[in-house]
Amino acid sequence: MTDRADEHLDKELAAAFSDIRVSEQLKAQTMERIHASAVKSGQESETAARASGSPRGAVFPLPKHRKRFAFGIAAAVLVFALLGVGGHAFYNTETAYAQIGESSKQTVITLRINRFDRVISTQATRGELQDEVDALNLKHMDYASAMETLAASGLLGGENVDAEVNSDDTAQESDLVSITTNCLEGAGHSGTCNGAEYGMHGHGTSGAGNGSEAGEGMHDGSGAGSGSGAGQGMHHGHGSGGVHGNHSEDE
Amino acid sequence: MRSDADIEDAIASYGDAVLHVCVARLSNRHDAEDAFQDTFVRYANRKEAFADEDHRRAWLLRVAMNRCKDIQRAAHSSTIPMREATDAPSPSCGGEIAERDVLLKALDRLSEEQRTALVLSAVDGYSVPEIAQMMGKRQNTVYSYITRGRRKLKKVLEHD
Repeated sequence: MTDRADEHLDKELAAAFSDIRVSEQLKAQTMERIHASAVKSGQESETAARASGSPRGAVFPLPKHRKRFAFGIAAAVLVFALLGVGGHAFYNTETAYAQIGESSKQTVITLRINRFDRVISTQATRGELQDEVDALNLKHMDYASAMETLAASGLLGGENVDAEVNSDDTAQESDLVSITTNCLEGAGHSGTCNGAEYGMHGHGTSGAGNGSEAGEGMHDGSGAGSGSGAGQGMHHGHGSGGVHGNHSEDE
Repeated sequence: MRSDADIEDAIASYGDAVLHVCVARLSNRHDAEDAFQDTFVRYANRKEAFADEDHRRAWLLRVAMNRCKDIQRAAHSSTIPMREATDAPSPSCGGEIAERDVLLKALDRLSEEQRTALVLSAVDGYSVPEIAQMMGKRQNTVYSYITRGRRKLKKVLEHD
């Protein structure tokens, strides 16, 4: 409740503010500022439209919170794009390869493999063979399935099939060798894989190479084998037929 | 942007109250007019519709108060005492002017909130619930601002 003194004080205050009113001049100045601000914001949106090549008036300045949101979206898109490019490059990095086939019959197929044991590319020695390999759709298949498909396709040539598996990672290499020999054996092939014989049980020629043609290594077969069969190493002739370690440079 | 007629209507309806709050808060006519103009520029650029007339009035007063805070924060503002905030006195009524100057000078001693609530109540005739809506405070708080503001103002005037 306001008493008389309060009422008096209120009246005095009202009188003190009686001169403080919106003058016509202040009103005119305010309207002028409003129009100037409208023109300015119109010019800004026009400049933005021209800069972006959009038709006149098509671009309106975004409010602050929208700008922040748009920036966040752009940053997220950039991060995902970088992750995508990085992931693609990571996936397509070759960490191992396997060369399988009979070099004498020009049926060597190379499978390039990534760190996830997936086939990232295939290469065949002949154009027609490449077409056949492409038809198998080995790309992106895991190596075990790719080998099974390949072994079952009959593209690897006759009974005698050699393989060379190479990887920077010894664990991966060991796995790939095991998969290769199992698949080839399963398909009735025999030969060497990284110099070690596989599928020889029925032949009784322990320690002997299977190759009938001496010195026909896939790359530089020297034919310097000392056993009954000359070596068919892909890189080096392995005449001794012993189990060689990978990358064995010993002739 | 809002139409000129809409803006002029807002100035006609609430312009004085906005200016009073600005003057009460800033104690400087020039800054108060700046805050007044900023408030109506923002009003002109506001695209969203108001729920009702109370909302429009409360929005205008709140924007004005916030704009005053911004101006105060900018330390460049040179504070001129309240009595310089009013228009130049006319020489014919010297006694009244002197009395008004004393009152406005005394008003400077109140807190911003007390000044705002008291001016909106005593000068513009708004009720406590209306002021509470404009200031974004509870009614009891506003009532307390007004009561304490009056008490303090009386005390200052008695001492002067």
